[in-house]
Amino acid sequence: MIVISYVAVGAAVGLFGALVGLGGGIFLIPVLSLFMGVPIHTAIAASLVAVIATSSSSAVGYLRHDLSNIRLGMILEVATTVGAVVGGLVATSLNREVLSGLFGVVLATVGVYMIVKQGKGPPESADVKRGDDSRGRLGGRYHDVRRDEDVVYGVRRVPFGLAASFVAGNLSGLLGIGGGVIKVPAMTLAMGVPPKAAIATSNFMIGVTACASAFIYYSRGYIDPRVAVPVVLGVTVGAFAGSRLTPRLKSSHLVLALATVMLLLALQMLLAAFGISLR
Amino acid sequence: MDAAPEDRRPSRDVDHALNLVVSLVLAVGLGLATALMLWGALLVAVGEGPTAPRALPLAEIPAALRAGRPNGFLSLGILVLIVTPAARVVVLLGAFVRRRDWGFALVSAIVLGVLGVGLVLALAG
Repeated sequence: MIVISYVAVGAAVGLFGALVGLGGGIFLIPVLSLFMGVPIHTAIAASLVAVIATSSSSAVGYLRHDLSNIRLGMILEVATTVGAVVGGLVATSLNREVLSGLFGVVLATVGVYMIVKQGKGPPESADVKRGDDSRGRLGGRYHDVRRDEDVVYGVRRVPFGLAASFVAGNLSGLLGIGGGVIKVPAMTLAMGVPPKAAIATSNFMIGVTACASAFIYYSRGYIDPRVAVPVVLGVTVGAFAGSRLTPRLKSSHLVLALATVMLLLALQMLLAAFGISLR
Repeated sequence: MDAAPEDRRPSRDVDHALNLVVSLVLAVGLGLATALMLWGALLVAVGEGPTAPRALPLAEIPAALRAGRPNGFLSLGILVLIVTPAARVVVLLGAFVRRRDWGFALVSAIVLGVLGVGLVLALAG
């Protein structure tokens, strides 16, 4: 029966993650480790595999609509993969208290960020040009279906993007999350990439980033098929359902609710780091 | 890299074709991995054997598959999923080399190199 509960947790995480634009790893790890008795390294490893599945599955759609910027993604992947390998090596040598504490801090930061950002809408980048082709080699072009127009954009501050990607990759390898929560704002706010292209490009990089550290978790025996397989299957179904529901839902209340849940989970992870359990 | 000459920009159609190929690689990898994991799960459900608490090392997977043990299929499914993003980097490397786009071929090769280093460090540790 525990297998069915892993599938259910995966499906719920995939569904809510897709509804608010997160990969889901950030919910998966605390739920598995705090409430289902899964050791944190095993939870991180299962999350990495689930992150590869959801990223690959959404990339299929984004690529067909030309939303992912492959060239920009490849350049930034150099930094995310190096970060992920370093993160994976460090994480597998850290104990569970330190990892729980780190995860709690990141979770709380993301929760606060989601609340602060809420209501401001996606940031429009300053130099998005429509119908103009001054995009350079890293820039991109896609068709915005809602506005029925071509969006053409250039890319700036690549060194900053590389630094942010290294941090995102590092967190991915260390904590089993996708890292989109760092890459998307870096691309939209600092690099001039429109939000839709930033989300698709970040998602495009996540698979390779998680792949870099997943090797390390696999070879050190942290991938438990009894946890990883049901979680992956659940997350895939949940994320698919979520992507179908997203256009029909008003997500502001949902984002606030999930951000609150994240803050509570962050508190529990921080308490777990000091050996205090509220269960 | 921003200020490349006009004529070196890839055309939209060529980029779109590349996007479709990469999306196909990801879809095939994901489909194959899911099928293997579902088959392994089915074998567990019908009592063909227990699942071990850790995925099998690569060298033990062929024997487990020949013996029809669920862990073989589950482990291979997980591995296929993990290497799928690496496979799309290989495809991109090939595409950039074919187009003589040496800059991005080099970038793809570096990403593959980092993945390789990760693998070597993983096996060495």
